[in-house]
Amino acid sequence: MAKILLVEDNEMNRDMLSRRLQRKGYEVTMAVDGRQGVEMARAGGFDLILMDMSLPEIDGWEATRQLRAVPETRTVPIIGLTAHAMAGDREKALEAGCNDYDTKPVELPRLLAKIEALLGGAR
Amino acid sequence: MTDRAASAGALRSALLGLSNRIAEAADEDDVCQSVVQSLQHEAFGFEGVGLYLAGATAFEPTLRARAGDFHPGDVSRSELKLPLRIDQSAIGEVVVQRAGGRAFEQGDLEILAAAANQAGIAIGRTRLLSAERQRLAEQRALLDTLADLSGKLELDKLLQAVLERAVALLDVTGGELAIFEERTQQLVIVASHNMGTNAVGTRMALGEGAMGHVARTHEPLIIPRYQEWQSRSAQYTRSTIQTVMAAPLVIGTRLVGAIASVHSDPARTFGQRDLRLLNLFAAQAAIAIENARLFSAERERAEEQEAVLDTMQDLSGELELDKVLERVLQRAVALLGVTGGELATYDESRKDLVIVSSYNLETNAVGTRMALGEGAMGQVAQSHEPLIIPRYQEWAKHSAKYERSSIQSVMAAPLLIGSRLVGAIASVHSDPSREFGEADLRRLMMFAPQAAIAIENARLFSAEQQHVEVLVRNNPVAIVDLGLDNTITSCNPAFERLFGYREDEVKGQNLDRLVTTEGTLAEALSYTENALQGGRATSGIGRRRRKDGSFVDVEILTIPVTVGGERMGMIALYHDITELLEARREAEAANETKSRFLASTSHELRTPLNAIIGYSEMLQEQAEEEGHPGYIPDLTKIHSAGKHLLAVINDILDLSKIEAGKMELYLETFELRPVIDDVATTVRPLLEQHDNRFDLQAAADLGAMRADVTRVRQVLLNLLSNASKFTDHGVITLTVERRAEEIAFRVKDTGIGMTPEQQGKLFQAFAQADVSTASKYGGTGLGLVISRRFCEMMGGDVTVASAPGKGSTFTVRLPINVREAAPEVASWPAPAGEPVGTVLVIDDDPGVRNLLGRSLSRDGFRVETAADGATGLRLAQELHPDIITLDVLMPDMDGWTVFSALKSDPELAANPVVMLTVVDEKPMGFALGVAEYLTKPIDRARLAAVLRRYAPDGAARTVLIVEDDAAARRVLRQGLKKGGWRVVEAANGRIALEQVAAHSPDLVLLDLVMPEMDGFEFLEALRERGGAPRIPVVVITAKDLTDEDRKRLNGGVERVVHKRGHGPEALLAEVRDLATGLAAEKGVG
Repeated sequence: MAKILLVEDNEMNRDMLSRRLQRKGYEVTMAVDGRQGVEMARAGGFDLILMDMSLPEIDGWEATRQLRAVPETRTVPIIGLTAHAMAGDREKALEAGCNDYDTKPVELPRLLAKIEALLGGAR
Repeated sequence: MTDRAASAGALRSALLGLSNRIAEAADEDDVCQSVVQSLQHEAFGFEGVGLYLAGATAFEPTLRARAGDFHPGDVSRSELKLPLRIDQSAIGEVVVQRAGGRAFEQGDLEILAAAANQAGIAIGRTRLLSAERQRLAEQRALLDTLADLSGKLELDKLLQAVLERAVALLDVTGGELAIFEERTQQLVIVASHNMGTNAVGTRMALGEGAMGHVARTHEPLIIPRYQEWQSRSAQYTRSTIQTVMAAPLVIGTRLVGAIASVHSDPARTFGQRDLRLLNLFAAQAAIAIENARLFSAERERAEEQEAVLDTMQDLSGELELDKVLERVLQRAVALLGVTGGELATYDESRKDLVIVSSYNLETNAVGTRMALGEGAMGQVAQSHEPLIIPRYQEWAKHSAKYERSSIQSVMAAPLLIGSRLVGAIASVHSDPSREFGEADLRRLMMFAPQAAIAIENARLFSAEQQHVEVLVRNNPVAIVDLGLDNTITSCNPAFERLFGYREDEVKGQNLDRLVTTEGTLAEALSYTENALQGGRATSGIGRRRRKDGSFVDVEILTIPVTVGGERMGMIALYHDITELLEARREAEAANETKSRFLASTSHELRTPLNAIIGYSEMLQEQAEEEGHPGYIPDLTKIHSAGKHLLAVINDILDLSKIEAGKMELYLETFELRPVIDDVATTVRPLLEQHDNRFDLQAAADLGAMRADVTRVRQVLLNLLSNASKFTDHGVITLTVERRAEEIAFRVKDTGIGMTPEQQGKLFQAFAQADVSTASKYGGTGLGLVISRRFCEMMGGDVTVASAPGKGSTFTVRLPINVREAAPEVASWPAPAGEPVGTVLVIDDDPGVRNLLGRSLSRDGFRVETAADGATGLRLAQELHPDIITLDVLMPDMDGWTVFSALKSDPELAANPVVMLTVVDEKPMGFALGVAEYLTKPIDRARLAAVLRRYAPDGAARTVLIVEDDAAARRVLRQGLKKGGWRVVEAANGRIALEQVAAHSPDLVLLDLVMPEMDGFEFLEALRERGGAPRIPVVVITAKDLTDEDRKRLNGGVERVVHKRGHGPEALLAEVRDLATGLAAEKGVG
């Protein structure tokens, strides 16, 4: 059972996405801001991280950079999520160290495909 | 009778001898001698013989030869006389005498008759011979004379020379020569030699005097007793002239002139020979004179033409009416060799003449008006004919204003162009001896048409110029005329109003220096440079300084002025666009507000929508999994309504961004085929919903293109989904074609198609083909608008071809290599007056740049912005801003890289940098030396407060460095800036005084030895400023101060720091300490 860390500050989004992912059979752990996300990720045990980019304390890009900067989380797949379908967001996310990127609102099949692809590749 | 016979034989022999001797005589004298000596022969028995001859030049016979005992008039002797004849005319007589009353016999008479007969024949012969010889000699002499004279070909000199030759040749006392003037039918004496009275210039009517007489009769004349001659000339009544011989100078039957020769010696008379000689001379001389006259006329005509040509050229270049008039007149006066003249122009509207130019006349009548027909010029203006008035004062129509002037004669001509009157010109002689002749008239008539044209041209130009002048003077745009050296030659009232200078203040000043500041001088110079070098108009927008130091935003147009290919100068136009800019700023601000409102509203809408969409989707899944299929249709409706609403919101957001110019492109190079495949995959299920077949026609390898891939994808998806919406059971084809410079994407459907009217509304926002379409087919109607905008942003476009029922074809064309827009550099001037400081905002977010630009400029800063680090660094080096705000997260070059580049530039190291970022790295920032660290979102009030702390005019203390060495100034400047001082500089005392007046420094650092105005003089001038607060002065000098120097400083300075013995760092440290200490004392530290 793959373990996913969902870093998302918006409560409804967090609730919705975690429940849908759980129903699809993933084990979902949640963090509410960038700092907490980094702390929990570094504590270890996750197969994949879903990272919202607009986060308080430390934003998603910075959190990703920090995770990439330490050996224990350097290789954990991270999918960046932003609310803005802005061109360039994808590039910014990939630059910060995300493996992939998706926009919110989440289209579950598409996101699942990306998750599966990364988990498959990691395995 | 032997005696008789012997004596008869002796007589015959004597007679034969006489015949022989006479026949052998070589000349007249010889003949005479032979006659008398032969008759003296003893065989004849004459005691004395004499021979009298009337000479060629005298009428009284004179004794030419005598022999034996000859005593003329001795009554005691018997005399026998016989005349000597040539043909029938007596030329003299031969006389024989006998003493003692011895009578003459018939035999004696016969002998004498024979002798006389032979002598007459002999004398006749010798005379003929000598006449022949003489004629030859004369002709040779004449030829010599003419050859000599014709070389000169100057009529006056020639005539004088001709006369002198004639006088010499005729061996007379003197002579005169006159030429005949056709026009006046008068003789004018042109040469006079040795006449006692020089009558050159005197005129004679035909028949008047000796020359007048011969001129009329065409016959030569000898007047033996001139003083008794009744037609004699009055001027010679008391002269010594005794006899006169005159001859006409005639060519064929045409009179050329007359020549006269005179004897003052009563003993001399004129004979036929003299007359013949004079005639001969006269004929030849007449030809020579005529030749010379022809030649001279020819040359004169050539010279005139040249002069007129000169005049034309001279005048054609001149377009200023006053100057043209002046020159025309001067030319005419010079050309005609007259005393002076006047020029009048014709006033069409008042039908009269106005005197516009006057040259060398006692009365300057410029401005006087004359009716047509009034005065000489009025006369010619009316008649259109030239006029010569030989005796002006006697002329019935002469102008009253010249009643008492010295004007003697006048020649006037109308100035006509075709038959149109332009004006009139008059020339006058004040010299009574000068008169106008034919040649003068011809010159004037040759000159007048050219002058008329020149005047007309100038008049037209001047009218044109006046028109332009009125335009310029009343133009609301500031217009300034510049010479070649960019100095102002004139400006219009709008310029005076705009810049606050009066015209007389700016004339001769350099425009660029006058209305610019240090910051804008380079830009202004480049306008000037462009206009002058490129020879074409240059326009732009800039900021210029008024006289009072305030600034004005202007649109500038500089236009080079060239005349005939030659650069004459430049015109600069300034259009005040303060209001325009203000309006634009307001519009931008309003637009900004709108965009922000839309952005935030969209965000606010999107968050709950996300929940609606997400939860409804979840519930659908749950309903399926948990077996509640009855809920599914309703949940699907909620879900799709939510998605639709989201799409609308996204479209509106996109569109508002595009319209606000905030939509940016992210250009990258990508392989096209995979993108097309991706689009096809995405869209295929959608197309198949309506039972459409999807046909992709694209090469397997389409190559790469550089564009914004997200937008390309968005456009294609939009077109394809539109096609599917309006097509059922049809075919939708996507064709991708790579061309030379562009990629063409064609989306073709077999759907319902559109009317031309519907097509027209297609690309307009919120104008879907019709309302029913929207409800039937869904969609916001914004997709096409957005697609087209994106394509346009990338340098391409979208076009449509369609007909109702025939389907539609949308074609997108995009450049293969989409170009970046030029890097944005924008500046916000401070609202009014001198800005409190210059802020350079370096931030990749246009929203931030715009926000800061607007708000900081409102706070009195001049704001320059840069969208990326490289531009920021360049601007920092150019502008030396007082403060720099720097974003950390920027593409290409991040904020920290920019920061370290700034700090490593010695010129910029001292400039305070405020970091503005979402990344909170305050400790690191301060460690690196940032002045302030502010996190986004920006609290603008806080930012303004921070910036004001570093602004030069805020609380910062101002130090004035007066030092002629730029390197020394730089060291001090950097050091003091680090210490928070605002630094102003001056290279000498004079500039320093200006800086003191402009900036009221808190402290002055003063070098003593400087050019122009040294430190001592500066101090004296500084102390003389009445009323101003005392400014502390620290002297920094390399000079060893003498007692005299110290006296001059006279305690007027706070401290003297010696350059020597201090390294730059130490010097700086000391100055900084001093400055800080002094400032603290003053309470400004």
